[in-house]
Amino acid sequence: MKNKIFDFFPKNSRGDKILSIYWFAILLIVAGGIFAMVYVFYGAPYDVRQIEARELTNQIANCISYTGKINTNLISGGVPSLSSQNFLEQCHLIFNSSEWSDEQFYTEVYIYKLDNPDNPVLDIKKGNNNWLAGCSIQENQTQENLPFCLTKSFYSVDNTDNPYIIKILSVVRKSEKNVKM
Amino acid sequence: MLKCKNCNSSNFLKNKKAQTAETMTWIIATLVIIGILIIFVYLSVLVSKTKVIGVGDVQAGLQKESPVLLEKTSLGKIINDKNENIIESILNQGNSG
Repeated sequence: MKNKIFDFFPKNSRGDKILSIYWFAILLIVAGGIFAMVYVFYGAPYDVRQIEARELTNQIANCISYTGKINTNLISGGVPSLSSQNFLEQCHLIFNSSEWSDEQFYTEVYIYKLDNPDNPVLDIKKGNNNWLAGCSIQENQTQENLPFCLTKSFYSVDNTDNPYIIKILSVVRKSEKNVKM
Repeated sequence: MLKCKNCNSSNFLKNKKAQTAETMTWIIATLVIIGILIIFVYLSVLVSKTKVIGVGDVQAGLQKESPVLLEKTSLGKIINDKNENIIESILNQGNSG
């Protein structure tokens, strides 16, 4: 009887020790996999440039036209004004920032007469024009590493009810903050 | 004491079939676990690429027009609504992004 009790606990338990090491190895592999999944997902930033470009377009549109009529500082009586030089100041826009060494925005505004949509009566270009080249590359497909380009048009009239088409191009770069490089 | 018929030392050294089978089972299980983890990590990479906050209904292929621009166009048409078809065609061509 005594011998049977002692035989219940085997003397040779080397197999159990090896198996314990294996279980710890599996634990480390699974933990490493979970860490990799979390790091990959939360390490990628959110891309908000689409919203940013849309807000820039809206801000410029509000500056160009309000209550359905074009700002008389830009066009008055069918004649473009020269005061578009300080367009950014008029529209309360600041493109440079201490956070970036270069300006991360670029905008173009074209105002066309309705009867001549190919030749603008007024064009305004402000910001860092280096980012403009990325827009033509992305005509068919958006490349997330390149600046985000948004083109919108709307209709308005001047103070003498002449019809115009206003076309606004807004370009936002900031790739390092919005895309995992 | 339990007696084993073939339990001499030489038999213990030769007969390892149970241990071999057990080891093979765990090797294959380990490979399956690693494979599943790789699949999940790849899926995490794919999901992380969808972290784009847009403003339009992209899935339906429609880009919702900004309400600000729609309002300005509407106000302009109230003042001067001649050539409305021309206006619509030009506006539809000029929007992208």
